[in-house]
Amino acid sequence: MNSESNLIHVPQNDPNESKAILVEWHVSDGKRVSAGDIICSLETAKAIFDVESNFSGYIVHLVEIDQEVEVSAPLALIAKSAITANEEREKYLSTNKVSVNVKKSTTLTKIAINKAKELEVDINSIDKSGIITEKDVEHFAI
Amino acid sequence: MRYVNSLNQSLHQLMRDDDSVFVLGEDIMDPYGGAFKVTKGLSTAFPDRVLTTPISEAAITGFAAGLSIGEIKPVLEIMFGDFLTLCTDQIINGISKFHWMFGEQFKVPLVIRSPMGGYRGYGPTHSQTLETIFLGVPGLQIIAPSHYHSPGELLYHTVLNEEVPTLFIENKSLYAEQLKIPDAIGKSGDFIINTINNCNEFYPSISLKVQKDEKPDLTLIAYGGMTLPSTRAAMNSFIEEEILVEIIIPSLIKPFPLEDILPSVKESGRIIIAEEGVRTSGWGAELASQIYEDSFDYLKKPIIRIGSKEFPIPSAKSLEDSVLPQSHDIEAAITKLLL
Repeated sequence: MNSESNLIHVPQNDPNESKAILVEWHVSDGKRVSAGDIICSLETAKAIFDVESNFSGYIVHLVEIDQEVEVSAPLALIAKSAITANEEREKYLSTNKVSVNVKKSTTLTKIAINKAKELEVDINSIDKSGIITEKDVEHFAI
Repeated sequence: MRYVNSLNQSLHQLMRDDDSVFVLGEDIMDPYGGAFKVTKGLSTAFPDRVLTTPISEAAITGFAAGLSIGEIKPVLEIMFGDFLTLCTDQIINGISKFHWMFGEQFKVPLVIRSPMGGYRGYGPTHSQTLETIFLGVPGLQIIAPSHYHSPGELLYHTVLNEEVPTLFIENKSLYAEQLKIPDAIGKSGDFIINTINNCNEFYPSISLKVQKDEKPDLTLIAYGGMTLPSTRAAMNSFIEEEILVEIIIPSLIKPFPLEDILPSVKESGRIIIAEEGVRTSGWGAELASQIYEDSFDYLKKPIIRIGSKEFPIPSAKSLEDSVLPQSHDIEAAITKLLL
C-alpha cells in the first residue's frame, strides 16, 4: 500500500449484513477531509449509516452512488495532497482493476468447452446470446 | 428495486388509496420503522392509522381480527414468523373459522404479514419457516412471494381485495435482494421467465428455464427464500452437465398451486420439491402426495423432497448451514434423478 495515501473500507455495521449500497457522498471528490469527518452514507436492508474518515487529506471516491459494495471493500482513498489525489486514483484503479458495471462475458457449459476443443472451434467467435451449449458449438462448426 | 422497498412502497400506496387501511405491529413507528424497515415512513405519513402495539402476539392478533370484521382493513405485522406460534389459537380456532361459525354473517379479511427464514445466524427461535404448521387449517390462505414476483403488487391486491384471512410470508433473505424483472425479451440474467396463471391470476407462479423451447429434464419446485439456492443449483447443473431444470416458483402456497405445477411435471417426469422448512410433514410432503394422486403415470422416478433437518436451527453459521438446505443438496438430488 502506498505511503502517500490511505484507504477507507466498508465497515461491518451489523453482523448479519455483508453488503451495502452507497447512497450519498458527504464530501465531494477531491475535497479536503479531516479525520473524524463523515464522508459518506451506506444503506443496508436494515439501516442507513454514516462512515467516518480515519485520516486527514484529500478524498478520492472509489465507488459510485447506488453501487453495491461488500464489507471490507475500499470506499475511498485519502491522498496526502490535492495535487497527487488524481495520480493516486489512477494508480489505485490500475493496480486493483476496479471496474463498475462489468460486462458479463460469454458463458459456455463444460460439455460445450470440451466440444469446442475437440472440433477446434474458436470460442470467441461464437455469436450467440445466452449460455452456449454443445449443440451450439456443433452447429457453429458446420 | 429491492424486495423490502417494493413492500414499503405498496404499504404507502395502500394507505393513500384507501383510508380504511390500518397498519399494526410491534416497533413499527418511525424513526425505527420496524425490525426489517418494511413499515418505514408510514407512521410519519399516516399518524392516525399506524398503531404500535404491546408485545403480545395473541392480543394484537385478536384485536386486528376484530378490526377486520368492522370497516377497517388492518395489516398486522408479526415481527418474526417464529412468533406466529403465539397467534395460533386466534388464527386456528377463531379467525379462520368465524365466517362459518357465525352463519356467514361476516368475513374476516385480515392480512397478517410476517418474515420467516434463516441463514443469518439469528438462532433457533428467530430463523424458522413455520407457515407449514398452518397448511391443514381450513379457511386460511398463505401467500409467500419470491423476488421473481412483485411482493408489493401481491400485498396490494391481498389487502384491498381478499376476503379470506391471509398469512403473507416474507423471507428475510429476500428483503435485500433486487427484484428480478424480466427484460424486453422475457429474460433475467440467463433465465427465461414465464408467468403461470392457472391457479390464480393475482398470485402467479413463475417458471425459470435457461433454454427456451426445450422440454425440461427435471422440474424443481421451490418458493420464497428457496429460490436462491434453487437458481444456483439449476444454473450449475446446466453448466456442468447440460441438465435442463425448469424451476417453478409459486407465490400461492395454500391452497396448493397444483395446476401451475402439473404442466412441467408431465413434461419432465422427474421432480424435486425444495423448501426451507423442516422436510418431515412439510409443504413438499403434501404437494408430493397431490402430484402422485394426479399424475402418477407421468413420473419416471419417485419425487425427491428437500427441506431442513429435524433439529433446532443452530446460531453458529457453520452449524446452521448443516441443518438448513443448501444448493449442493439440490444439486445432489438433481444428479440422483438423472444419472
